[in-house]
Amino acid sequence: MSAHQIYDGSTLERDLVLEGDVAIVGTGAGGAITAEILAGAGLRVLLVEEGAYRKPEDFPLREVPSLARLYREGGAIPSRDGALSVVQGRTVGGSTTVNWTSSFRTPPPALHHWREHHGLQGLSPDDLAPWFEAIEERLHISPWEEHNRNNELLARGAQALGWNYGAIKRNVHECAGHGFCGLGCPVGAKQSMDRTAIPDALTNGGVLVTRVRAERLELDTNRVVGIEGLALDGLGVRTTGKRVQLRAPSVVVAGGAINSPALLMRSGVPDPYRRLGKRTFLQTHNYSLSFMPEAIDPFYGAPQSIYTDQFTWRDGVAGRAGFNMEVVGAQPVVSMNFWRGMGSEMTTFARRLRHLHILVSQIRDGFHPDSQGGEVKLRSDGSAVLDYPINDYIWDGVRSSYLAMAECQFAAGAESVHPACSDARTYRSWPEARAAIAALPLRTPNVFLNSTHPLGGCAMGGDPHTSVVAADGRHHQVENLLVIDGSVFPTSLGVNPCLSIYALAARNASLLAERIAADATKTSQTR
Amino acid sequence: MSDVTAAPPASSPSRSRHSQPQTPGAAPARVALSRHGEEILRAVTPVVLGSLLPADRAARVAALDEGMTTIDDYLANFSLPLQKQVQLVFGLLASLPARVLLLGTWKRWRSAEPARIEAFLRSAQVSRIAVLRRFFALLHSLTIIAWFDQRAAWDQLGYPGPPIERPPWPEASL
Repeated sequence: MSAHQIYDGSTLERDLVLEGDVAIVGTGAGGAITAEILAGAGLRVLLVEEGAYRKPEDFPLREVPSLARLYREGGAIPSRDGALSVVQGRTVGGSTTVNWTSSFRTPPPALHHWREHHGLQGLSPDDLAPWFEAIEERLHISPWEEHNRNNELLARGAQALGWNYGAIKRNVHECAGHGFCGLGCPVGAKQSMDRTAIPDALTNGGVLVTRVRAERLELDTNRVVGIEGLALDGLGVRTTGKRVQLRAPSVVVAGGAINSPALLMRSGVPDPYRRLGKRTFLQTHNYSLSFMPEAIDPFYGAPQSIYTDQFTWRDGVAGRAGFNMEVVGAQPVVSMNFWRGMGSEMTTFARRLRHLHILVSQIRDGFHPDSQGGEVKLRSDGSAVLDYPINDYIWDGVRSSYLAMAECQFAAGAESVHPACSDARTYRSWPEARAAIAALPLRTPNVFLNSTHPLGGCAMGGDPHTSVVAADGRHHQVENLLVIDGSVFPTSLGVNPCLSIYALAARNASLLAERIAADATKTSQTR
Repeated sequence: MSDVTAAPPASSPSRSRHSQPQTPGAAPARVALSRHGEEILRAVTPVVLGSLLPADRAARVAALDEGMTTIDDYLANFSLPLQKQVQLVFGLLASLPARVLLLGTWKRWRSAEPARIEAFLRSAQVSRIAVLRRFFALLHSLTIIAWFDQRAAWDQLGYPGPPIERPPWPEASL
């Protein structure tokens, strides 16, 4: 095993130029799996990552400094009008380093919709099954059965109401159930990219450059010839003046939703049909707070291990906004931030934190004519901002999910329920909650809305007039450019997206490796 | 950033990463939290937190000091465009017209009566003007960040803390 070749941009003393077979922007679910597969195929892979490379022993398990360092904008990237925020990792491993490990295969209704409405071939549930199986084996993805009290309560509520529910699969190996997934797994049990695919790619000769922001792609007529990066200081905030160039015949952009389309826009990548950044989806999350009679200590244990999809596809794939439902298992800062009380109310609330049960719904978007998602734009300084309007379609999903979450929490034995909304009150019974939520005024930012699952913006599709890349990730206009990350999905998914990204990355990186090998065979018999 | 192995702030005020000892009364060096921002947050935090903040004066000052250091570290990791946006909001709120309009007083935030601040926060929270609702959410959220990551707060919450003791972040670890 060769020594891992890693450059930290913050300590570069001169400009850096690296050459390889494939250059990749981003080390999250898409970039890391791509790197592992290509490096395993004998290709020299170059990776550039804006965040730092942290080791499990680095994670101090303190919320605020961890949110500050492992996430973009402290875990709350504001949308353009401040109505909601987006949560994205910014560290080696991307969001996989800080996600809660909830792993779902892409739901078949979404895949069928993509074939019917987005011209995507080769992505049926059967087509993708081998890729899901390979990733599930690679990342130890299996159902979690040691549910903490927090998750048991969701199961109890769903069961009492006759809803469909089940155990979530998690990408962990020898997990101790500390419950700090969101702050970086302190024991390295989470099979996130920083622990799996990245070290594997480095062992196979890959080169990683951290704390460097990919500023633009260098284009030469209809090809990308490299990536231009700017080195960042120790905090990853200011540029140091040092430049990094990655040169390779194939370039993969894997910066995730928002940043992948923004990088392509900044670079002037051809966009003849104005598709870049469009159809950015959030499967917007909204939250319901309740107090249980007993202490449930939601700080500890696997954060998410039970889901219900009772409402996800209820009105048909193109019907009213559907939503899934899971619990929030977090530490005090994250939990208390859902509540906007003050003074004596704040005191009363905080002193019962051990009893606090929080449900989250994700409202799937992108399947209905009234749900076209948001749009990534560039500010005058070249940075990205997401414009995501909340329309009546989303508000309908917010209200119906508030109702469903409250019903579930009362069915699980809650003493009171309070939607995470500044305009709501505390409700003591399901009939009271039902009447009040039906009449609740819904406005931003009083309804607490965010998204840990930004998707789209470089949509894949069969028609270049309506999409950015093809089903294999290849850009429609620039032949040696691929996008392999969550930005390629043409809709949201209705489930946590990491496994969908891993599997599609495995498929499309394998196809790329085959094409490169075939090209090499054509030009040389020595390979 | 506070040292996780330190005793509660009442007995051991946290050291920022600017680790020179502070002269009593001297303002600590900040990276991203503006003077206006700190003044406003020091005034807003006790109103939001009510009796959660320690009653003892020295302990209360220590808690606010640690809170402001936490916020500064949090904001210092924001992108520069977002840091600037936050500073603009605080500059606006600290301006005389904003104080007269929103707090109903010519006084600075640090001297404004808590009742006026509470009245402003409660009206901003449900205002018909969206930007005021957003200002409220920002101030409230930063207050949460200032307090609930402190050990003194954990006792009130019944949160025993992380299962593993670790030193704070190495600033420039690879």
